[in-house]
Amino acid sequence: MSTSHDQRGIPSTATDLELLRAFEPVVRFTSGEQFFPMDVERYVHASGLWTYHPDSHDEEVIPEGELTLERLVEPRPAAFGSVFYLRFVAPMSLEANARALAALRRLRRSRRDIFRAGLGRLARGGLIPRLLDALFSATLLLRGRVPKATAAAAVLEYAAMQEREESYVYHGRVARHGGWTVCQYWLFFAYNNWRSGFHGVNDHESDWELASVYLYERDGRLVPEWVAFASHDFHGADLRRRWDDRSDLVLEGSHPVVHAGAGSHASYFAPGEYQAEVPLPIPQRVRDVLEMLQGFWRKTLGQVGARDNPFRVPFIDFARGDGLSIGPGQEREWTPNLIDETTPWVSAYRGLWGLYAQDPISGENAPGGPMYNRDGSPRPSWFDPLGFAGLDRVPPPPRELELLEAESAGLAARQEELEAVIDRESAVLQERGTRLESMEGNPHLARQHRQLAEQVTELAAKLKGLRRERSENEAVLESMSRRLERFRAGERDDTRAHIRNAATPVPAAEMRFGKAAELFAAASTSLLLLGVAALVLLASEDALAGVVVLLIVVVVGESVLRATFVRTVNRVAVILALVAAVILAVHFWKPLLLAGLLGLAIFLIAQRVRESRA
Amino acid sequence: MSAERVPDASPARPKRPLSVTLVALLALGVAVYSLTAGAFALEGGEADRRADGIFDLAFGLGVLVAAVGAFGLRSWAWTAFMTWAVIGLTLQLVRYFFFDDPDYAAMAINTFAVLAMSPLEVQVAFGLRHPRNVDLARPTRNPLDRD
Repeated sequence: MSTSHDQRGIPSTATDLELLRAFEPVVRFTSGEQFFPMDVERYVHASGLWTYHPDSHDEEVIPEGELTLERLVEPRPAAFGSVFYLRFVAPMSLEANARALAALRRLRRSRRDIFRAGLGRLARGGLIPRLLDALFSATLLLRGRVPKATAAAAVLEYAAMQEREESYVYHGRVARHGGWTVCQYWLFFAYNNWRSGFHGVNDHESDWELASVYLYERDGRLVPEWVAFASHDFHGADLRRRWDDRSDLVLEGSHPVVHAGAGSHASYFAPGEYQAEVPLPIPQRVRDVLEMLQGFWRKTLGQVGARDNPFRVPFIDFARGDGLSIGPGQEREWTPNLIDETTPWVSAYRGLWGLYAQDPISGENAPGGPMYNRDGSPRPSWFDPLGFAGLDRVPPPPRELELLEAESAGLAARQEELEAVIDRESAVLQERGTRLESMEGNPHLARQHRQLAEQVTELAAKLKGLRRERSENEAVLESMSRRLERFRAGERDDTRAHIRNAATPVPAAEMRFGKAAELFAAASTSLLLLGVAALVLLASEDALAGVVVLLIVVVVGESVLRATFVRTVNRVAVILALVAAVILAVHFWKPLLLAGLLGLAIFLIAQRVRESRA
Repeated sequence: MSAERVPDASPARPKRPLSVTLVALLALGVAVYSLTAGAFALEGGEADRRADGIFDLAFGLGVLVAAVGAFGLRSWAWTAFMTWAVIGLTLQLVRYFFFDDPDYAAMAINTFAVLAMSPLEVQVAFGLRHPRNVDLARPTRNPLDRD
């Protein structure tokens, strides 16, 4: 249990801007980050507005340099299936692509804060995830994607903008719902270069991230209670931390610290390297078969279940917090920009905020605005900021005690009512039961006996239900009483009681492998493919046998480098033994059947002899 | 005169599972066979059988050491058995699927060794896994747990 005495808050008469400034976050980036939160107006001025038509052609609506926030929100009728989108980087010729890539290399060389992934990025996943990773990369050739030169041009364009006028902006909104006051800090980035810059999953033009502070009113002051960050793969209550939770929430005075993922800009509480996973879309039937096999593996063969799902591609989100820090008292300070539902660009523009790459799984398409999803539907984090962080069912602390007392009193009254009903119904059941018993042995009362027996059964079931309710209520009432006592004594819940899955950085020991493992991981997929090619070329008749042996050698060899030899050799041996067992069973079914029957016969005889002697 | 037994302060040694004893006995049999075959091959004096004899002797000695290790529940013995089983089974399966020439006896011995040595309880006994990390309990069928 912990108490919070450091929550002084600010007067509840404060303006929205004062409120936002009082709790604005500190954002710490990873060294090598190239995009920082910016003003949407600058971005829009540097972009063009385009439309994707249902007949698959793109049309420039307003060219770059002529677009303003006013022109962006002008009503534009369009056919179903049309997509409005911005282009921060205009279409480029081959020569411009080459120039952009060369200029980016020069820019990187001139900068001091360079990103280094470190050893272990490739060796973290096993052979299957690595093969899938290669396939995933290959799918980018088929799916719509943002070209690498676009990322380079975006980096150059953003760097030039910052050189002209350096600024770091958040778009702040204050919302009031269910007794809570929510300060939302919307961070807009010109580009998400996670894939091209940091070995991640995707690239897309523009990026929105969100940090929220939830406050409640106490004695005329607004007091912070919760902080929530938008983090990959997590949702609801797992996104928030209580203000007095110091296990991973870092505060700089009254300012929560966000550790932003390199390129992805996902927000994390603690600095570190996070393993993000892209699960592959496996059909349900295949999933069922896999589950059945896993059950057989664990229960029948007595093996340890697989720790990781092999059908996922692991990626690392680097949120080291060792780069630029923005916020009060940091290297750079914020410029706030107040927004709400009446801000035209927030509510009236439902298009994408960057390139529509026509990626069917959307990873490379730009996002919508703070108020809308990509398809123009309302964004839950905007219209339901409480539900977004799983707070819709949580009252502010002062109201919780009142609610608990009322609930407890209501339940106690129901218990009294149940006592009376159970006594009454129990007496009735006993009367009927007695009457039923007295009818036994009288064939001429068969019809009445049957009817009464049905009534008795029905009544007994009803009584059982009432008793169950009373028993369950008793337990609930007891837990409510305990909670009430704790609240009255000034105690609070554990700061992390609401968290089911927390984003935690992978420990350094699990992230780092030796140079040999990293080299092997980097080269193994290609070597495997080369080996297969060599086998097909040089020993085509026995190529398949060679591939099997090659695969086993690679898997076992890698396990030596990854220090997982025992686990791997066990798995491989069991799989091979199962195949061999099936072969033996098919070939020697007759002797095996005979041996089984013989064994059973001897066992039964032994049993009978033992019984007869006993 | 009998020495007074000093209570052992170290944790009790795990009991050797029956399956491990069977595998170790089987390995002893294989070792004795290989050593005998190797000795006969060398004693015969034929030059072309000398290499076979040396291999049989070396193999028999290795299996003998692994069998003794298995009796003592040494973790390296488990690793040796399983590694040998992977090599043996790969060879036999490749021979079965691609060359139609398997040695069913070797296949059966390796299969038995793997199925006997791989269960979690056996790995725990060999000290390869900590019992704390392993759930060996089976679900209860107590009717009181049912409504």
